Amino acid sequence: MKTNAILLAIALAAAGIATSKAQTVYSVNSVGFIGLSLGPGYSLMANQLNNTNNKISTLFPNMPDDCQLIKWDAASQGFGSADFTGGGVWYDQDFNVATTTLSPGEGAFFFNPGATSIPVTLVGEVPQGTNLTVNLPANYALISVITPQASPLHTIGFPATPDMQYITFSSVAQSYSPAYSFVGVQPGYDSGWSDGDFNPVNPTPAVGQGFFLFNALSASSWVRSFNVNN
Amino acid sequence: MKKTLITLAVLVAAITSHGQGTVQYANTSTTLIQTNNLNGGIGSAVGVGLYSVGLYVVASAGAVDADFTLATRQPTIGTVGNSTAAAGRIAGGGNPYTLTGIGAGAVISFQLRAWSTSAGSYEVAVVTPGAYAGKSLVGSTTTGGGITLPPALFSNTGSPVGTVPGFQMTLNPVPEPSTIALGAFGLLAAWMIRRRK
Repeated sequence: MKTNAILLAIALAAAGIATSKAQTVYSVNSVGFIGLSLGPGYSLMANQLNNTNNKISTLFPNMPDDCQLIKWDAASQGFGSADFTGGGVWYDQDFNVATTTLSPGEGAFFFNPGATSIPVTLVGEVPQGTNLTVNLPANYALISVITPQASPLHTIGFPATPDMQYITFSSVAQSYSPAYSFVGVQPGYDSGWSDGDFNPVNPTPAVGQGFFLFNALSASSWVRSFNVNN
Repeated sequence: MKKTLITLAVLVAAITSHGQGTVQYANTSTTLIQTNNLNGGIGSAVGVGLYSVGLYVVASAGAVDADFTLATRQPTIGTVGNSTAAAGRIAGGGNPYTLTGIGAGAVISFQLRAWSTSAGSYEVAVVTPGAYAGKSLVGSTTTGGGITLPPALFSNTGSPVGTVPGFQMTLNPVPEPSTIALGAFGLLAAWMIRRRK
């Protein structure tokens, strides 16, 4: 995936105002869009905006034939069945219309069967609130930053634990990039992360990027508070 | 810290190496399984449950057609073309397909064979009049597993190397009634001649 993927706009778009005798309550939603360019082959990507239903048929309409979307099943520690496109429709492996969703906080492989990139525009509400949760099961999980931010993980409250690994996929090389390991915050390692040559690094997923996380300990959660105005 | 990293590397390697091998059918709209009715009609296989497909695997490179016997067939059987929405594609049996007895990162040779479900197996279908049977070329790949993506078995371009194109199931002809009648007439004539003698 070429990550000229940019959060192009976050617009304060909808405001619901309710009035009661005691007080006025404002409900503010921020709607935005993310432009992605999914290159030939596999891209490890993410949807970081809440769409109507987050179904892949809604997120990726009118795709060319033979695109695939593959999610990771943390329970079995293996890839789930691929959904694919035919005639602009997403099907599951039993040829039923796919009902797969891709929600903020999840990651997935998108397969582009063609020779040129596919432009994708994800539209929806920016996740906001005080309980934005990404589950971190034991062993491998395919996740994303739940909000459309390109920030170093250690600056957005990521609960790294010893021996965690952060693994990304290069859509250009069509292979995994060398993993980063969490070695603990210590002198010379401000973020606590190291590459394979013991150099300090700051894992920073791009907007629209998914990544594998290896959790060597028991299951935990990444709970965040986020508001576009803060 | 080095010790920590080394320990981690060993742990991850152990997790990966103990995973079962996986592959992905991924037979796309350009690599469909087709039927041939022997009258010149060729088309993508359709019909709910009419055709089954088996994945035959040998855990080494360089296998040839004769190496793929019923004993090398993986236990889970898929179906072909069970919907007009995706006629000629393989469904069922899991996709990614988890191989039995073969680990992640293994080099394998493979062949896909499809047959009329009513015949019970490819081996029976090839000798059963009225049944369809067909098989792919022999391919070779390295299995996926863990977070390694399952390799696709099909492609219409031969890339990646080792992938196979779609293939055709052909129909074993049913002897025509006239042929049967002629045979019966011949037997009757032979019997009568023997009686006269």
